[in-house]
Amino acid sequence: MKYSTRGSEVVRYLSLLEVSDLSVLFKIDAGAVHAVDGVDLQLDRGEILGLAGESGSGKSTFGYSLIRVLPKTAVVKGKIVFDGVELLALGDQAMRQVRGRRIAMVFQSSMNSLNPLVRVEEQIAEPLILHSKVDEHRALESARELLSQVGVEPSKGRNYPHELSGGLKQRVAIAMALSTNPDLLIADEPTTALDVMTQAQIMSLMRSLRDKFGISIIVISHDLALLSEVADRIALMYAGKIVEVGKTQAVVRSASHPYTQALLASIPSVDNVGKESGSIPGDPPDPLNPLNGCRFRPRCRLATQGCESFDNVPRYVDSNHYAACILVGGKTN
Amino acid sequence: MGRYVAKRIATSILTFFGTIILTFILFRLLPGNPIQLLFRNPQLTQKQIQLLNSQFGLNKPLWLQFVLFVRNVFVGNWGISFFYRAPVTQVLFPALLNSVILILPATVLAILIGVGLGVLSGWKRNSASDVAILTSSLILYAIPTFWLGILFIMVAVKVGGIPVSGMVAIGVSLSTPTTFLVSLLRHLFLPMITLTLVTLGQFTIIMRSSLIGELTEDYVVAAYAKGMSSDRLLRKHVVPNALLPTVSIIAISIGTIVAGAVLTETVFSWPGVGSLIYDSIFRRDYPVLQGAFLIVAFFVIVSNFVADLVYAYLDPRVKYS
Amino acid sequence: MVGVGILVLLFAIAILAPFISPYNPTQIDPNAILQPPSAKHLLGTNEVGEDILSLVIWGSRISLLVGFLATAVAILLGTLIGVVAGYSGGIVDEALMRATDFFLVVPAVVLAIVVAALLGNSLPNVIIIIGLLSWPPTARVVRSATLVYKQMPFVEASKGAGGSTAHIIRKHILPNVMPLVYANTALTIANAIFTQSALVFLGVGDVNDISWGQTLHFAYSSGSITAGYYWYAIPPGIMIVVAVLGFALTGYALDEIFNPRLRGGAILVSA
Repeated sequence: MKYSTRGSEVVRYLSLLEVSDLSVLFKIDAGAVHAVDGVDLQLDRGEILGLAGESGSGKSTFGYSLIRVLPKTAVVKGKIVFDGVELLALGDQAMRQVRGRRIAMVFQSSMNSLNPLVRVEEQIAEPLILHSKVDEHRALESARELLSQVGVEPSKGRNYPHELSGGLKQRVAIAMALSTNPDLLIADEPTTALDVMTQAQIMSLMRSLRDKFGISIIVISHDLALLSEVADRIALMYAGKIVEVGKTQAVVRSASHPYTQALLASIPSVDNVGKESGSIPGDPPDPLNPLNGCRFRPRCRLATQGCESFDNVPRYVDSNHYAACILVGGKTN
Repeated sequence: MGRYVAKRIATSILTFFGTIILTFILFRLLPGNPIQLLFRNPQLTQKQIQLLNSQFGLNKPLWLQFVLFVRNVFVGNWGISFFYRAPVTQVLFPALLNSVILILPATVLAILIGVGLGVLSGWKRNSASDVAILTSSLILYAIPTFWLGILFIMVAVKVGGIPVSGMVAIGVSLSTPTTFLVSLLRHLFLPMITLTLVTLGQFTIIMRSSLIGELTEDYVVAAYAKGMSSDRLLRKHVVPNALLPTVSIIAISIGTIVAGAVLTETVFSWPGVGSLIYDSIFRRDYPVLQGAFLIVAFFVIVSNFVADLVYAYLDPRVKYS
Repeated sequence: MVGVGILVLLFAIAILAPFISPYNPTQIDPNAILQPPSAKHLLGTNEVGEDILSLVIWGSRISLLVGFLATAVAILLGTLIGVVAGYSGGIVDEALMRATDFFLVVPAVVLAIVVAALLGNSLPNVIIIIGLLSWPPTARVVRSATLVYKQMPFVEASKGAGGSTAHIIRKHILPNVMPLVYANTALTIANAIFTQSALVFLGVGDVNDISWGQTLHFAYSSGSITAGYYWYAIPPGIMIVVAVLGFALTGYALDEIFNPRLRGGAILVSA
């Protein structure tokens, strides 16, 4: 928690990011797709939050909505308070001051985030040139500095994207995001298409960035095992809603939502050698027709009567650990 | 990069040769051989007949004729015009100049306007301006070149004051350079507008699809996430990428542009290579026809080569292909 | 779509020409030369007293006919070359593609003009010439498609079962490749109509049969343009625009239906 003075008042900012009741709707011909449906989430400064879920859970859409780069067909409701500022209320120009400068995003490693026609160092320098009054020469120097900080030889800055490997390109993307010293970095599936070695390197890079510069990071991934290695807290999404959130240890050791439990059980590990690794039965949720009540119930082995009318509000499990399941006992918060 | 250029030069030379072979076939071997008509052409003197005979070696075996033909092409001996009684090259050169005066500005304008409209149309897809631009581009694409020229002539005749034929007013070439220039520009006005309008339609359509396609690429979202305005996004990222396929298409369209120029020149009696082709057909002036055809083909080949160079300059990925 | 609607209308006009045409287009009337549009002659008359509306209606026949036949030649040739090039690969492919590129580079209309001037301008000649110059785009599309389908498992299976080359091409490759050609066909027809009218206008095409280009040719050569007889030149031109639009729109629509990504690849390959 950080303290900050405003006028003569001492105001305590509990968190860097506070998302309240965020929902994102996509209007299509067949109806409306509820990609994100009433999400509450918080992020402290210097914290790494892992956002986990399968494809279609809404986790990427959530990430995109934070910097408002969703297509025009999206309808966004709710509140996103970043460092005291309500982002959804900002006009275009004001939002551009935040986007790429105070909140930066690194896209899926399978995506082509780099302009094929521009040299890599120029692309890294671009946010600097855009947001600070830095001249081009200085910006390029900073870009090369950044490259070495993310573990890339500065001389590679003169290369074009197609001349670099997938791992290098992703590091470049990270350097690009860091160039303006943002407070928050959103990484959407940053290592998915990369080999295991590179994955580990990039994850340790993220940790060191947080340690050195105090950047908060949201890592979005379907790989729960990966997140458990790098995140301080983990939140799981299913069908557009948060189903469980808490400190990594807590979530992994005492998973309280059947979905989390099923996910963890399906991770092959040294501990379950010989045991059948289960996949979760049933079909993924239909984004056009969300179920009422708990959305996981068709696939849940513990589903009961009350699930149909469940309010989907995460319930208190332990200090800083919540799960949205009717079976989570006793105290609601 | 050097390898790419070398490869393109090789291809151009090959096409070059192909054109020479094609010309040879057309003008020598097909039935109704125009050279044979030489001897029945009343305009030819005995001396010229003998000259042509030895030059083109009509009594020699075919392959030798071909070799001689190729040699003549490279040496610059393209024959003698029946009509003008002068070397074909002498007739062609001023005509070529006149054509370039028409084609170059028209093409540049068409590219600038066409690409500009295409970007606007693609960016504001499905808006009112997009529909308007798209519709007018389609219509422009569908209008026959010569018909547009005819329409303009009719309007100009009604309105008066705008020249509808020729390159300069008669007698002007003897007066001051300024008067000459003014007269030239006045005469250039209608043909150039015609050629520009007819050409830009397809450029707009191509640029528009290219831009729309580019907007769905990943790097566009990533660039936008850096916090730039849409203006900068278009200018520095989307448009340069979208230009690449457009340049390819423009290169392919050079042949069509030249064809359009031929029609425009004919309608407006603009004394370029196009008019020369038209006139030489009806005058049965086959050497000039052949020379004009060669020149046009060479011009297109060279333009294609230049376009390929431009593409290589724009796209760093090409150097490695 | 709009394009198809236009085409249906044009077909109707062409087929019903004898019935809907107010006059016999070759019927001259020395007393009614170069008359502006009136009740008697809806589009006016030309310099020999022929009714322009009739000329335009009848002109649709030849214009459309040439468009179709020339395209038929082009598509046949293009498909043949494309399939052979794509399926054979190697030297054959290289050679055929060089030839295709050659014909793409050389300005087709200019070549058509020159060839027509040299070989004579009868109707069959014009059809063949236009056809012979329009096959490159089709050949390219067919070749790209053949390359894709050649690799498909069912072709391998057929080969393994002992299918002959001709059989494979006929049963497996062609049916998959043809839909891609449809879009091309429409655009080729649009181009053919344009080229034919250009050739006739210049006088190197078939000037004896009634077509839109022919009407424009006489409009220009009779000097009626500069004299201000606008009704002569406007209608045939409009018909050409409408026809080209009709085929082009249909072509684009067909392209969207049949041709998701293949087309895009072909364009970039040329650089």
